[in-house]
Amino acid sequence: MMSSKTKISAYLFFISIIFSGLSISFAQQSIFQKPLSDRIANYDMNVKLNLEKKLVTGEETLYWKNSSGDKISELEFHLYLNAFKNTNSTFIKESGGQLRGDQFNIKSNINWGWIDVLSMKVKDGEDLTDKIKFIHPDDNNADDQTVISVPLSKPLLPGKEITLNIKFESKLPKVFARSGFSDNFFMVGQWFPKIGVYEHAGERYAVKGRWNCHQYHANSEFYADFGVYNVHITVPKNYVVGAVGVLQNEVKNSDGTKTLFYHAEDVIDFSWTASPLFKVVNATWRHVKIKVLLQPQHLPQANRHINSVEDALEYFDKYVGKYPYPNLTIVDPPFRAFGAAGMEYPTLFTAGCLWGMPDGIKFTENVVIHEFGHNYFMGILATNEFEEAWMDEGFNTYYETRIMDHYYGKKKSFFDIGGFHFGDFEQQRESYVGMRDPKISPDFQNSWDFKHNDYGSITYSKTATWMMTLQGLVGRKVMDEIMQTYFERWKFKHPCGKDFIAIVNEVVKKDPENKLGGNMGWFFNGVLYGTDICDYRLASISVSGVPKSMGAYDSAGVKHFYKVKRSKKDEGLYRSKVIVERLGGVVMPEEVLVHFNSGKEILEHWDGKERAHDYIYDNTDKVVWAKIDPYNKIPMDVNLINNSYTLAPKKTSINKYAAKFIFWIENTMQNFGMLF
Amino acid sequence: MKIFTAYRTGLISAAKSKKMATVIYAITFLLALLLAIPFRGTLSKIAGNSMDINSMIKGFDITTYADFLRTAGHAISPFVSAAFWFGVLYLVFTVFFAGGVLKILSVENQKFSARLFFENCAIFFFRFLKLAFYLLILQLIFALIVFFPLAEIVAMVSSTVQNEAVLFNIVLIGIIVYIFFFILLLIIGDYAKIILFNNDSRKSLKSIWLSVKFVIRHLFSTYLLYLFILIAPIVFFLIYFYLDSAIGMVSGFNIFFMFLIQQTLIWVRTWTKIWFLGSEIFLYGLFPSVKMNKVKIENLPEATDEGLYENPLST
Repeated sequence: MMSSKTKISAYLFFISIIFSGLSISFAQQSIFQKPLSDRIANYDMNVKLNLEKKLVTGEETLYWKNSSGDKISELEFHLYLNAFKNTNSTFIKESGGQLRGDQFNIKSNINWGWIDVLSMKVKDGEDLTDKIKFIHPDDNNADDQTVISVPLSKPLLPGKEITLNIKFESKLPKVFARSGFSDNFFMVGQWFPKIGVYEHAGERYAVKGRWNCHQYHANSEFYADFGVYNVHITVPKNYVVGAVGVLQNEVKNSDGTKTLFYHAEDVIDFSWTASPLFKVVNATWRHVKIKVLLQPQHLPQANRHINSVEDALEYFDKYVGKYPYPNLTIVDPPFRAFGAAGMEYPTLFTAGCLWGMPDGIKFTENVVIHEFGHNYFMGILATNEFEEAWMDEGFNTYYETRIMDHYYGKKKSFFDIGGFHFGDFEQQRESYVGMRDPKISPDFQNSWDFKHNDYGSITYSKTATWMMTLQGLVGRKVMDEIMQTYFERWKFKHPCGKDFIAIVNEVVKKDPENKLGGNMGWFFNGVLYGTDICDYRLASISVSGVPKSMGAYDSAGVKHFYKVKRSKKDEGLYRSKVIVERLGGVVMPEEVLVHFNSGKEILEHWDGKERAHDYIYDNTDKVVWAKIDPYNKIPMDVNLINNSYTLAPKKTSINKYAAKFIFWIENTMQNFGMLF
Repeated sequence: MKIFTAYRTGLISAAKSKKMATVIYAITFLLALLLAIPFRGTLSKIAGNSMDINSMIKGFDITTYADFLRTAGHAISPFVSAAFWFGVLYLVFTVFFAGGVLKILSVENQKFSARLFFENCAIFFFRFLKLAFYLLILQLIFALIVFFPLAEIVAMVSSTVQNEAVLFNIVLIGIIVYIFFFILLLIIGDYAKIILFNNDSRKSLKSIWLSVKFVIRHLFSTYLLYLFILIAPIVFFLIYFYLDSAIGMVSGFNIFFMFLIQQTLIWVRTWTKIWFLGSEIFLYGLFPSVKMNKVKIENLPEATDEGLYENPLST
């Protein structure tokens, strides 16, 4: 028989078992058995959404690791929402209050946005609140409050971790640039005090250890370290929520709210969305659970979202690398919150959809595929979007065009209605070559240095075009190897441009069919660092008889004149001369296809360096036509019309469009005549 | 029944007026050629010896098209702006033809005579020009009446509505309302021409007023008749689009064949306009007359069971 003491001990033991079991079930389940990244910046957050005031208030515990070899005596944070605080912020000044066609509505005070750090304390240590000061590392705009510096009394030693408890209040702006509210829709992005990236010496371009924490600019996006996020979000119980990471549990509270707990591992950001109107559609692709949060009127287009993201998952898996996360959330913002559309976060992105969008306009698919791709370029390959936007936007656009053209057809992947059609890559190329001045900016520069709306055309479209050109030069197989190597070597890290170029050189050099040399610097000098354009022209073809040999010669001090008779062999010989020219400053090796009247063809290889180069053929065959870049490997060429030349131009196409023109004029006149 | 009778009668009159349609078509074609010939020359010069232009033979190619426009847009754009002025010129020609068309149509079994046609074109030209001016003003006023309130409604609704389908439907309703009034004004214009011609009047505004009264009084008949006749050219256009996508213009023969189809369509449009007027003249004659101060009708036939013109003055 048990003594009382034993009985009590036994009860206590069983109770502890029960509670430890409960605590295990309340704790998050690990997503990955081994960390995928170095998890430098980790956050626990407990936040609540105030619908009426459009406020998110909460507490954040930041666990930050000093992974450098330096003693760190200050911390720098992003306070992105302060970009929408007033018209003096760098963001509003640079953007003029508009982004991607959306105008910031300043008519009502509720539309402004900001973030206040109410307190910041080292756990069991000093209160840093009063030490916080705003800094302006980019433009000395004293009114900009998007970056703070917090000095530490006790420097953080290399390898050590600091824990900070931060209370903050985020006022969401009216949706305008990615984040904010619109009626009862909330897209909560870049909303918490986010620590910057400390780059140690040798990392990216850092010669010595330094904070890389830029102000929020009109053209910039973001940059952060990987970490683990545990976020508890309290919203009204009728709101449907989507967030980065995996939902662990949902608790209904007695005050008419509910609290959702999300856990995300090895991500660089955390965002979430809430709306009572979302309709949820679920799908699964291999190991990935897909959740689509749609506006009710867009429910018929659920499959367009799901099918396109599955296409993207499949394509990236095959040609780049495995998507590591177990989930993906697609958010469909309402049309009055279109400023929040087309934005990416790890495992969550906002798409963009309009009611009644015909199937021939693949706008929804385009946005879904593009934003999904950012999981790779930016989410896993965590490049610095402030300084090297081309590495995420440009690379991603390149893959977007590959995927769109692959699944929907090269010449009609974006638009195909009533005989009028164009493909996604065609559109991107046109966006670059059709710029008023394609020479206006180099691709390689800080995002805020782009002027006059050239940011999009250069970082997205020009980059995608030269990536496609690189693919044309090295071949698709080598290009895939380059990107796969880049992904495997740099995933969950912060690569920079020179890291990518080093991989290109490495992979190209070892290609047995390589004709481009061991150093592709010439290529990147032209397309990435330079501003000049690529334009080659097939200038002319001429055909004449082979000239006779004749003239004067000396013999014993006397001038004699000669004329060599044509031999039977020389009769019927023609001299064909093909002239190719380089009009632009960018040099590309070119293929020149020369076609003779017998049907014979020769493919010449030209290094493309000289301003003009002649090909001369003495032959019984005459050259009939010739074409530079016959296989369209160099889409960087801004003018493809001058790439060919024929001695026998066909008028069929001219006649076709002349006939259409007559018809069009007649209809126009009759339409005017209809008025009487 | 009156509508169908008018429809049939107009069709018969138009069938008898093929020569007149052909004359008007020929003038249309010649005007278009005035612009098309230099256009073809310019296009040929710009294309030069390039082979890339031929990639547009099989169908539209945006890369070629955009590169081409970039290279040569400055040479092509004057033709586009010239097209607008040719449209204005053609409107004047249409005003000119109206008198001749009405004359030929208004007389039973009148064979087409170029002399009679052009004589009446000239007689009524300035009257119809004035009438056209007033009708265009009316079109503009109605466009503003529809457009401004619609824009206000859209602006008001778009700041409150969550579902863009609502916005789309509002705009669609606005467009339908506008189209309704646009067609109504065209009908009023046609009857104004008939009234002015029939009464040999110079009072354009009064003709418009009488036409408005007539059309409103017989709105169902006049509007429905117009829509029924409109079906024919719409069907022809749909057939053309089908042929264009099925046959294409990918070879010399196909281009020539489709060119003939296109010109047939233009001829049909011209002929349909005659059909409209023929039907409207008949329908106008079926109802009690609209009197003006000065009435002078010549050679109008007596009414018969075959639905020929009724003397509008007989009550």
